[in-house]
Amino acid sequence: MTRPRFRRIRWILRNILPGLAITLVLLLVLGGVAEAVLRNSVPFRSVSFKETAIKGGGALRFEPGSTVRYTDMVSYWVDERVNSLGFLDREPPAHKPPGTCRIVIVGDSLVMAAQVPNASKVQARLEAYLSAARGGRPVQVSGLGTFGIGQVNALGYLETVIRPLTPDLVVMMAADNDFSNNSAVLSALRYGWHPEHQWRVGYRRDPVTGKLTQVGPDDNSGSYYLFFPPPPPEPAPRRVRAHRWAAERSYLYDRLFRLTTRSYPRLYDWMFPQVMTDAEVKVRRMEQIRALPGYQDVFAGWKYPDDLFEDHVFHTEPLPPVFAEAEWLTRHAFERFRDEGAAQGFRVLVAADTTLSLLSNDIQEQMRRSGDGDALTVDGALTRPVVVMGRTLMPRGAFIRLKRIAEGLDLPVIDLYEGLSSMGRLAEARIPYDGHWSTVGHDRIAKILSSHIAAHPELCDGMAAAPARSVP
Amino acid sequence: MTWWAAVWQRKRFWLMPLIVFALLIAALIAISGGDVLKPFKYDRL
Repeated sequence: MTRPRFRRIRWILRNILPGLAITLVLLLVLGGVAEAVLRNSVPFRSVSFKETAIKGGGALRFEPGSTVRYTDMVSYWVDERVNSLGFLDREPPAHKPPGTCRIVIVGDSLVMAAQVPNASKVQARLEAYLSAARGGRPVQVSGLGTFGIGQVNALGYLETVIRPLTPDLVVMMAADNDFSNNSAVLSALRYGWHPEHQWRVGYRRDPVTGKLTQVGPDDNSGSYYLFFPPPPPEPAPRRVRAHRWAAERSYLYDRLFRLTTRSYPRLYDWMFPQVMTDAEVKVRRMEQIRALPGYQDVFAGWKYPDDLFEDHVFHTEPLPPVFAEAEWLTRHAFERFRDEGAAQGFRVLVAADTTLSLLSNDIQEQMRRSGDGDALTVDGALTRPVVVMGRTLMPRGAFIRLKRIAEGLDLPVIDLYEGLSSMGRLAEARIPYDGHWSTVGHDRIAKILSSHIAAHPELCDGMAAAPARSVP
Repeated sequence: MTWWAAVWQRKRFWLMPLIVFALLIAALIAISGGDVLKPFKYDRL
């Protein structure tokens, strides 16, 4: 009995143990090297910024002169200084020499672009491209980007930021989530603010009388918050504590965990189970909003959560009343920009982001599951109308909606979907798993804007001589 | 014959690290969608 056992041990010693030992040593050495490389190359490990409410500005901005650090801990680490206006861009030039084309780009997180350095943003690249296209004549471009805002929320910038900058052209960068952000009710739903006490510039429109009521910015917005989900219970489960312990100590573990959960979001949900889903939070807020005087039927025609997510509804026809109000307010904001432009002496150009023409991944997934995958292009655009959850999604639905609004106001629209589609794969223009524009995207969009503006010189030069330039 | 001479003669000691590292690299590519092979600031012009 001892002999076969001895032979087996000797076999293991000769065949298994050396390989095992070499594997373990190599893993330890390579793991150590990877850990050292990561520790040396990762400049910082968390997002940090200071926000401030600038009086009269109507939206939160960054503290002027502060530093914003932005990272997804996988593909970008950006450390930039906030300019004196409170935006994440280069300092706007103090002087405007004669013949200068001064452009302001207004938009949400796409224009804020905390994921790329200031020098790579569309505003900086446009300056270079357009100046070259204008034979070296100076071009100055400033980005007024604030995350989560729509055109209504940006109305506060007209007097406080745009007038002092005396631009010749204001480019309004529009994305599909702007429609919801322009609505006080839908903002209440997604951000938890009271529909009549908004943090930012906001309006409500009476559906019967058409009367417009301003509902923000309200400095006391914080006293009227709607429902917020409770924090996860402490102490956290053992797996969460083990994860925190490892992630704090090892850059390698942290990176591998992030890479894995990006590809397998279910692992993230297992590690950090939500106390409530976003849909459950919204349902609670809907109940609170309906209980307010005059709001009983505000969500009529929209059966969320057994209905489309609010941003997706703008890709459909027809719109339920609260969405029609959002559309009306969006038009109102564009009109105010146009009219203020006539008074201040700037023209308005609308740039439509690709999100207005494409469907998000989750709704694409839903369509594939229900057998409508053939109606989708590789980029996620629809080739024919498709009914999802009882609503008809239209091909390029939100873009057509925006275009109709802009053209009704005589505002030119640049279609970034069409422009970017002709310049390579659309996915290259976005940061993977982030959705914001990559440096490639910023560069391509700057080229699109530059060629449009160069081909329509009146956008820069025409207004400079127009009598409307004298501010009343 | 010493233990190491026997091990060396069989040339099997490299099999396990080879298999383990091949699996590891495949797993890393799979979980990261290829990102793990890209340099850090690949999203720069």
